[in-house]
Amino acid sequence: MWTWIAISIATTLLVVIAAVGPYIGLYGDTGEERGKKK
Amino acid sequence: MNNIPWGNVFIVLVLGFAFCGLSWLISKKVKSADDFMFGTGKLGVAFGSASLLAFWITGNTVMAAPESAYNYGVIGAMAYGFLGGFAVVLFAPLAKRIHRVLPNSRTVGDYYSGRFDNKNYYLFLALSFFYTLMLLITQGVGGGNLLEQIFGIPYSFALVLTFVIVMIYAAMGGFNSVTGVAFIQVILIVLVVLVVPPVVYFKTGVSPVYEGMKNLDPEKLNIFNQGGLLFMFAGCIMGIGEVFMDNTFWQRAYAIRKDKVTSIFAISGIGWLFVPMAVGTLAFVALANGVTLDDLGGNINQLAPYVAKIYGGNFVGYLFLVCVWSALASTIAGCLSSLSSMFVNDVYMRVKPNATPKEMLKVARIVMLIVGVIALVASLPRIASMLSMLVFIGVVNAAYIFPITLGLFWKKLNVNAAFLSVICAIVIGYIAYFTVGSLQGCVVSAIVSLVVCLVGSWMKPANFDWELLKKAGR
Repeated sequence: MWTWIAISIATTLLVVIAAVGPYIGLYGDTGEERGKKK
Repeated sequence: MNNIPWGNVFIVLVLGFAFCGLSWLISKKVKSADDFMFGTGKLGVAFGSASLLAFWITGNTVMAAPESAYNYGVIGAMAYGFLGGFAVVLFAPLAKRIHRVLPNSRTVGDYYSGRFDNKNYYLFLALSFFYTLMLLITQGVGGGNLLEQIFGIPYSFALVLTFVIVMIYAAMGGFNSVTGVAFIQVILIVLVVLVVPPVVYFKTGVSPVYEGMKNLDPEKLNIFNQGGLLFMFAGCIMGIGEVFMDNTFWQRAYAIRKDKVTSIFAISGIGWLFVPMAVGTLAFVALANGVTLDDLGGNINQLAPYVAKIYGGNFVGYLFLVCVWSALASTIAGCLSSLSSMFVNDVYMRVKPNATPKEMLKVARIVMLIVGVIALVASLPRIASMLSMLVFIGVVNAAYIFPITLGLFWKKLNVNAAFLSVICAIVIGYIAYFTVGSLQGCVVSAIVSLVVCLVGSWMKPANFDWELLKKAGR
């Protein structure tokens, strides 16, 4: 059971990282910088 | 007909009449098909948060949260709050991004058609319709059970009563009516949630409940209860999947003012988590007093209304009826509005792109009524408990978390990898669901979709042009 709890916590953290990715520069070009320059 | 408790029916009718009256007033301001389906895009903090809270405080929140607390104890109540509240908070950065890159879109379908290819789009539409219909059915079953077992209204009659009232008020003014009535509903719900648990505890006493739980079921006081912890984090993945995939949240992301969108989602998520926690504490009273499944007529979802009525008295029981019925009605209305707008925007407009606003409005209303009737009929056979139905669909929801999130931010996401990821995640997720455990199925589904998305995009990275998304929905 503890293994599944740990896997679930790790997966939740991965979702958090994916969602806040732009704030930590995870994705590179997200098209927003280009928009600002225009 | 002699067995029908007309006094209880009268309470539901009064509420229904009030909701329909308010909806009628709001519907006078609906000028166009866009107003009906998507709102004005100007919802501020109050209406935006109320609309989000009213949709997300579902019958499940009020009836399945105590089920979770009954099964896992203290950690169960906390887990339910965490899984839904955290999901809404986490949608905040996505909602902000949605406003920026999809300025002309109106549904999650627009995003899918703009970002992915046709196969992804049609698969998503089909699964999204399936999910929303299942959610509607859980609300129908919950409403029917509640009105029958606690308030003596026959199940079929209760279902018809609930669906007919909601269909009438939702079809009057569409999205605007649903969000306007939601404001009143959320006030009712929050008031009851603030009043009922304290009244019950005032009558039973806090110490006797603690002592009762300690004597009868001490494991339920353990916050490191393994089942509860698994539910908290695996359930969190299920909740995130629901929120990310659900058009209702996308509709609100578009409808809320751009400058307030992040704060509204964050406030709503934090506000929401206290509702299931508060209602969940009613389960502790049941645990402390040795209430069994037999006492609940074999239906675990009746726990909270049962405790409210038996330990709080008749008045508290009726207050609870108002709360749960409002929660069910707001969610059913939200689902109907979401499904009809998706159908018109993503199906009808593709078949008939030159449809006039008047035709669109008519189709949106007809779809609402048809979907309502389908959900009503599908709710007649009572399938499973609300929580188990949610976990079952959770495998599909979890499969979409990463394709949706990565698709919004990462230009290298390969559309074929995204498609394959969803198929693999659902298949392997359900294998895990049936062989390892239901919650594990949701976790496996999310992990598989992430791995396939990453590996597929690493092997053949795409180079998506974000400007294309700006055209989506036009």
